Amino acid sequence: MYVVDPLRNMEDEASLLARFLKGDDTAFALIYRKYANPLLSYGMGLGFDRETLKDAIHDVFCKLYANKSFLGNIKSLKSYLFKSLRNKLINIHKAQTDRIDIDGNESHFTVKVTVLDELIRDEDRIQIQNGVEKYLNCLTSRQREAVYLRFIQDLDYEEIAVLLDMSPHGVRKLTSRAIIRIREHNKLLLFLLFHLQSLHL
Amino acid sequence: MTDKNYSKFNASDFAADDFFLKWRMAADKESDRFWTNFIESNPWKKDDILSAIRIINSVRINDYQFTQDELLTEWTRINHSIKKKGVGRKRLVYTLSIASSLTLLLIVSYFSFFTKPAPDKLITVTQPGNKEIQLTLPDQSSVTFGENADIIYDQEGNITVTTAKKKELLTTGAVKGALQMNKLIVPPGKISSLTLSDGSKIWINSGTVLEFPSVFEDHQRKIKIDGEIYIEVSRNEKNPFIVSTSSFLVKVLGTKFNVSAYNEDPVQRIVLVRGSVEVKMKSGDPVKLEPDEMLSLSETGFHSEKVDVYDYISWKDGIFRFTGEPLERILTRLSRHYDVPITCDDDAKRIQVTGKLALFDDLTTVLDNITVILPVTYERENNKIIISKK
Repeated sequence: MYVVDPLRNMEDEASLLARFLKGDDTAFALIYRKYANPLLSYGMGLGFDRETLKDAIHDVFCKLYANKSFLGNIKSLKSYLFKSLRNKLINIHKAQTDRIDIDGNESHFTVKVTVLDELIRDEDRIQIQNGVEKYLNCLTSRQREAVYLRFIQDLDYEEIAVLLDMSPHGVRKLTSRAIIRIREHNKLLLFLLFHLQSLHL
Repeated sequence: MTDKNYSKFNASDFAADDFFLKWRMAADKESDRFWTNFIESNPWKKDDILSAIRIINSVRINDYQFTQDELLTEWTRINHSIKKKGVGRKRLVYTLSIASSLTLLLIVSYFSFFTKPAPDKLITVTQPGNKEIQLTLPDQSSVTFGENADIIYDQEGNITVTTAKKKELLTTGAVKGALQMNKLIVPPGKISSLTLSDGSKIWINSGTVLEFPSVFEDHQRKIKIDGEIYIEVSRNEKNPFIVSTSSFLVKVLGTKFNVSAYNEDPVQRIVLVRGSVEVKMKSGDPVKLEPDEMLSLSETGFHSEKVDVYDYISWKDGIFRFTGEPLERILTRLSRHYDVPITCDDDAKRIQVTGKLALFDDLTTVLDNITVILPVTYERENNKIIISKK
């Protein structure tokens, strides 16, 4: 005998959202648990400090709660939250830059790479981190952001498109160009290195 | 042409190699062909290559996380702001009770009733005896706490204990040395957290006895448990951290994992959340675990498998999550967690449940939720809960 539990799909974003919209505050707590860290990670990438992000994320969740009754047709909760944070941060950025009078429309997406495997030596860890960073930093800021959203945050092309105000097709092109760029990076140099090594041997 | 060079590589060399890394990040036909050929002509390197892939897969980007304290503070602040605006006031009290349990609740599963059916249908792990948390210091003096406690040892050996009611400083200036063991007993119905002098943090589940020094020695950090803990070890390469139980040792440099090793349970296990650990059993070679892997040990041997880690550490969200577990086992956990004997008829015991259960401070709320989800009813008799199939 197998009883299907209505709570089964709690992990599933769509039903978590549905439960929240119906007024279930446990779902609200779980949404917070699930997305607080991804939002922090995204915001840090956009170059904001932790305290600013705490305030911004606070506002994102308050807004989510307050707008509960208007959110019936959200397609993806995660991209809604990311978009909401992004807008918030753009406003904060504008307010700050107005004051110090720099025009900085171009966002700069940064990456910090960590290797979780704990049993390797620190020097290897650093070398791997530098390697990954080097490849990601050969991308444009926008490519980096798209790659992060697609492969790290696991958003699909449509979700990223909404987030970055692009077409899904545009996002697809952006990420595939990023991959090609990594592939081509240092290609000649590597080829020469191998070649020289083989000559020595 | 490069085979000669690569054939001397070990796993970390591969992982740190530019060309290898590029293959893992942005493979194309050419690199696929190169590495496939390489493995074919150097089959003994296959394990190193697989390990290197595992290392690279453990790379995270912008892996920033809030601490438990920050999460709790921010969550409280959000609820406060919402409340001020007067939305859903009554419900939020309910939600907050989940939040307040986020830091301390620990829930895991117990195998005993699964493999050995209880003779008299009594699902209980409560024993008469002390209901208080007891901390015995190296000088054999003891302190007890009536509520869940958060205990912090600093590098000088000072101890700070915080409970819902008070915060106190226990002692100052412990002497270094392995013999200076402290013993912490967390009885059924209670849960506690402990920060060790090296900054490692341990969440201690109900019915657990933990032994640890006030200050660690220089060459190793070792603690002993009978019961269940979730631990986040602070990294120190020179000074490995060892968790020892009656049947195995877990050795790590810095990582997050869960150990369930109640002496009375027939199956003991380790679930690795992050990093990697080495498990040494009474005989045989040490076994390495990867993230998302669970190692189960019993008298008949051991095996490891990939699991959904969240099932085993869902206490982090103040909930039980389970996949296809018999109701009996869930009730066993509840009994241990709330320190209340629970009995259950045979029909109800076998109901398979998949889902989540939020653990509220009050067992009644949890039982009400169960009766909504499952075809069972419950009644109270004295201090005992009786569950039967509808």
